[in-house]
Amino acid sequence: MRMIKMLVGALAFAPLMAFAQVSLTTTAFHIVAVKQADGSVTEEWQKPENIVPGDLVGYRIHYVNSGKETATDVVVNNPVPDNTEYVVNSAAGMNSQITYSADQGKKFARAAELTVEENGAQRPAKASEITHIRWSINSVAAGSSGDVEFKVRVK
Amino acid sequence: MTCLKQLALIGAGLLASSMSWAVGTAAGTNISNTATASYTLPGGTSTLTKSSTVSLVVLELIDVNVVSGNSSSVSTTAGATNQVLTYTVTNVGNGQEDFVLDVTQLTTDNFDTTNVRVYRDTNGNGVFDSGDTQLTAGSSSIGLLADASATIFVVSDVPGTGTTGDLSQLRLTASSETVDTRGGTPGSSISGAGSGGAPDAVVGNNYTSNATGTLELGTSSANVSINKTIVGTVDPFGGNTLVPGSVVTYNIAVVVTGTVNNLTISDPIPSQMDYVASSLTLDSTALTDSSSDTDAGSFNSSLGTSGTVSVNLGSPSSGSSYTIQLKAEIK
Repeated sequence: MRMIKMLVGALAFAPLMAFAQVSLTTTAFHIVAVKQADGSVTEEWQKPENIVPGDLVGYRIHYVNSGKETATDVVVNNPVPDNTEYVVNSAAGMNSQITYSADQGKKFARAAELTVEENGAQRPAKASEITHIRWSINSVAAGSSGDVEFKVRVK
Repeated sequence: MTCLKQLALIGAGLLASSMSWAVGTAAGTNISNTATASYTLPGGTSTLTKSSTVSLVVLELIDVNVVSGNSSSVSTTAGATNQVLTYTVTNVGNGQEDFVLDVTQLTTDNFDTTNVRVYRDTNGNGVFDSGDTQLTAGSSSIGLLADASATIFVVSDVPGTGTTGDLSQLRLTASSETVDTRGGTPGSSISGAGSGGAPDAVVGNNYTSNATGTLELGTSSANVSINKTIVGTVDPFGGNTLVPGSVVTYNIAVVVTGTVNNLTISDPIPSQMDYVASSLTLDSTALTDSSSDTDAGSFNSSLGTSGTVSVNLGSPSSGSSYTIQLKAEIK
């Protein structure tokens, strides 16, 4: 009797899973300054190897809508990983509005408007105090995809 | 790295004299990142999706820093033995590491010292003494936890001849034993050599570091400080006023801050006073007034207007201090 009930339960969820159409893939990179032949220095996003304190790490989050309907109010959330510090102005994403939190995701604001409380007063938050990054995308049409990214420095 | 060696390293790190836990994320730390997204589908269904978690392991970064503990030249004298230069070696990487210590004599100075030895300040008192461990320059290594420091003494003897102002410079170099053994250039990684659970180690820009200390042949006057004070007055009436017949006790504090030879402290008695016979003490031990016996003190009544007290302190080592007391009576 119990077995059957569990099976029914599993089946009941199956149709829902088919609607889970936006998926995310996160990739990490080791950001390395590479001197080019002409003497200029270019930032290269390389394989995430040989990470040591002080290094820059880039995270690229690829989203894709593999469903048949347009997803709206898409909000990508990423906490700044432990033992790293957000690099100022490094969050990017086409067609997205980027907001930040300095209080573990309780409230979000644009970088210029983000404040933290200190000695009873509000002051602008430092990049090192940012705990979460959020990209708000109005809509992602069926079959379309995009990337958002940010950089951190390993403490 | 063997288990035994690791244990020894941990012990050494705990004993290190100055320790500060600084910023660098420890070798072997896992940095993981997961993104989430919420979105709405036609009909108003809200859904949450998660990316897979991306994990990075922070590798061991090998960096070391050596500084000289002597802010200027250390004054010495020709023929002096066991002259000490002090250095601090700090593991500025993020994992425990062994560092090989070596000493080189610079060739741009005036003379080389001999019998050069390297000691670690094992007992952590900051002073070279019998409690410290001798290391073999060029082969012995010291183990340091991340951010831990060790005080190192380079001890040597000065040749018997030389001119005031001559310099001898000794350079202490600390190099990562891992890089010495396995090779590598800054930025490259050494497979399997990480500490703290990190699979590999990365060679830092400062996998080797050095600092130079200087010994200078000099005069001894700058190495002795003398401070004379009155510590007590007894007048003939049992009070403490300064009247004829009052006995004043003088205290002469002598501190030796460098190496000096044949140090004699002389104190001419003021013309309005008489030395109180047999009142001279050195570190609370009475000295006789005779100059013909073996103790360090004497009173020469024919030197100066009221005579002069002398105490011969010989060749005290740096850091020695003495307290001389004597009494004089107002005429």
